[in-house]
Amino acid sequence: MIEVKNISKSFTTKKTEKKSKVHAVRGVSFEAPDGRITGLLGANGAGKSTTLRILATLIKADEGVAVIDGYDVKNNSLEVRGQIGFLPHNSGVYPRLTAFENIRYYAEIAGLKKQAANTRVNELIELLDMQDIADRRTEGFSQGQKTKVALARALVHNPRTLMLDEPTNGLDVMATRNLRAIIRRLRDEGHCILFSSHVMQEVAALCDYVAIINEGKIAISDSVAGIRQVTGQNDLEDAFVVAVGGSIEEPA
Amino acid sequence: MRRFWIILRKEVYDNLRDKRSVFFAFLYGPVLLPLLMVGPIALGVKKHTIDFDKPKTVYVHGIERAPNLMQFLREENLESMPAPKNFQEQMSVGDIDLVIEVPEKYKGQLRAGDVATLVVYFDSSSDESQKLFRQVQAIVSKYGNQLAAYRMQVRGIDSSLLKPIHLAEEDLSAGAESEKFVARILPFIVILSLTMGGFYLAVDTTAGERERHSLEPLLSLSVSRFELVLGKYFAVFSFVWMSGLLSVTCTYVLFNLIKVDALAEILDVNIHAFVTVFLICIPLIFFFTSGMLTIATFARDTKEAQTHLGLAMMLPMAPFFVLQFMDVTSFDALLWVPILSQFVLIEKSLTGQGLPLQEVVLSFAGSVVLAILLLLLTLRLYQKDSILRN
Repeated sequence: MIEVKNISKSFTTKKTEKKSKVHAVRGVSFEAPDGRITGLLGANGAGKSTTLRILATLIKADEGVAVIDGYDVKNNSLEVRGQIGFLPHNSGVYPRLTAFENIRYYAEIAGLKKQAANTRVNELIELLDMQDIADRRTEGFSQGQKTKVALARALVHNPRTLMLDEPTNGLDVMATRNLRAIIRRLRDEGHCILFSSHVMQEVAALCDYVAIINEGKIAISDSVAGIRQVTGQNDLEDAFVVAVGGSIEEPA
Repeated sequence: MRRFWIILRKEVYDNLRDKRSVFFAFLYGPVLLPLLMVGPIALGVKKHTIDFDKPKTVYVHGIERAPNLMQFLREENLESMPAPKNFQEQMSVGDIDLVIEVPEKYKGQLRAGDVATLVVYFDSSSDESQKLFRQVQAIVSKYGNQLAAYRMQVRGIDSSLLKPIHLAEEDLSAGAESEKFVARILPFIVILSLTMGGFYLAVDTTAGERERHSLEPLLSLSVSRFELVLGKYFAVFSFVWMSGLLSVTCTYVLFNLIKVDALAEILDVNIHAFVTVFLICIPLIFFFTSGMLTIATFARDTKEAQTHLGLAMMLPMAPFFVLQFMDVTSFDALLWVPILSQFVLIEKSLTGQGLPLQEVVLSFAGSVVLAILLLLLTLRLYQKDSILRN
């Protein structure tokens, strides 16, 4: 269960000569209960990754509170990390380790004993259909293969809450469908899933609940049907455009 | 602390698969560097040192004309042999290094109290021939002085008349310059090896981890930043340690393989000296590991880390040049400074000046305290949001 209340985050960046402040996230609030797939939908640079990074305790919010399974991300970061599985935007696998070793490393850090870790890694390799690549070094893996390894790492300690930052990036159709099936199954098992994406169709196909984020703010949050109804659009893409204040007329 | 071991093990294992890390840690620093540096020096010493005690043979043309000289040469470890007739030919192909020719009028000139001439054939392009020439020159000059003294004695003149001044030499320095040079080369090799050993690992585990985006998921795991940094620290440490140990071992083997008596005379080439060098360098293993980790953590990417570390690696060379080319006599006030203090202590130890306990303690404490401060700085960097920014 993720509860986000009014979180804000700004960064100082160096633009040409002058330093300037970029407000990446501005007063974002939403809830992602267990047993539901919550989508965080927004264009590139809208603040999705920053929000997820705050929730994954990687960076600290300037303002606001975020609580995961009762633990405050700011003050109980170690406990929060024990509850979550985080798949960042880039898979970030170790190229000189095999797929198996990559996953087992995370299993061991998560606290699994040797035998339990090996059993769990093998389970995940089977679940994600990775038997043919398990003992190969990840150097030279396709983006899809890397994502699978990273996903297995995120799932290795069977976390209650799963945060996925654009997980279907680089995946082919079949891999995407498999991933969706896995995510749905995890939801049915009662996990809380927060899924960020900029692809409308994907969010429409997968998410039970969507929060549209634009320029660091939540523009609207509801079920896909609810968003369609509120914006008066049948298509989620049109609904998104209306929600972020744009015109649905495509430029000539 | 279980996670600390997991991270340490993974980093070591991962980097043992990296050819560059292994090459620089276990081959370049420990093996190639001593070969490149000690090899030429040892061979140079060997090339230019004349061993007056080793019995040698010289060929003499007209050996029967100077029996007294031959006797003198024998006393000075030079056994004379009659030169073959075609000695000039044999010299040109390198079969004979040197020939002394005693001309027919030699005996007559000596008897008459004139200047007697000896001709020496040698090959200035050959090191062996040149060394033998210098040896013969020195011995013949000594013989000449002896004859001069006899001649004066016969005429009732005190030979000391021709020596109005006697220059007595008393070297008060701790050791000869060449001795100091070798005593500085050894720590130079070990220290450079230490920096080489951890270089790629420091870059890979920090800037490299961030660049390939593996840091982000790693930091989202339930492991404290302290354990994470400590795991990485001791992974780099183990490479630096191994590299140092190997370089000392290899240099020892090398010194013993190239049997240079002249070197052994000026430098204590026993296992004890090498163990001392390594023990004195132990605090530097901590210091270099911290320094490299901090610099590489500051850098945004591996390229920047390599540039910064490359520049920082000039630092270990500074004390060597300060000691070698600047005439500083006392470093007592600077003994807490890492690298410099190790150079000074190793030199003192190898040239038999002894190691006062308080100096050793100061040297250890200085390096270790700075190492801890740098490690804390790295930990601080890992606790900041900006650790993920590149």
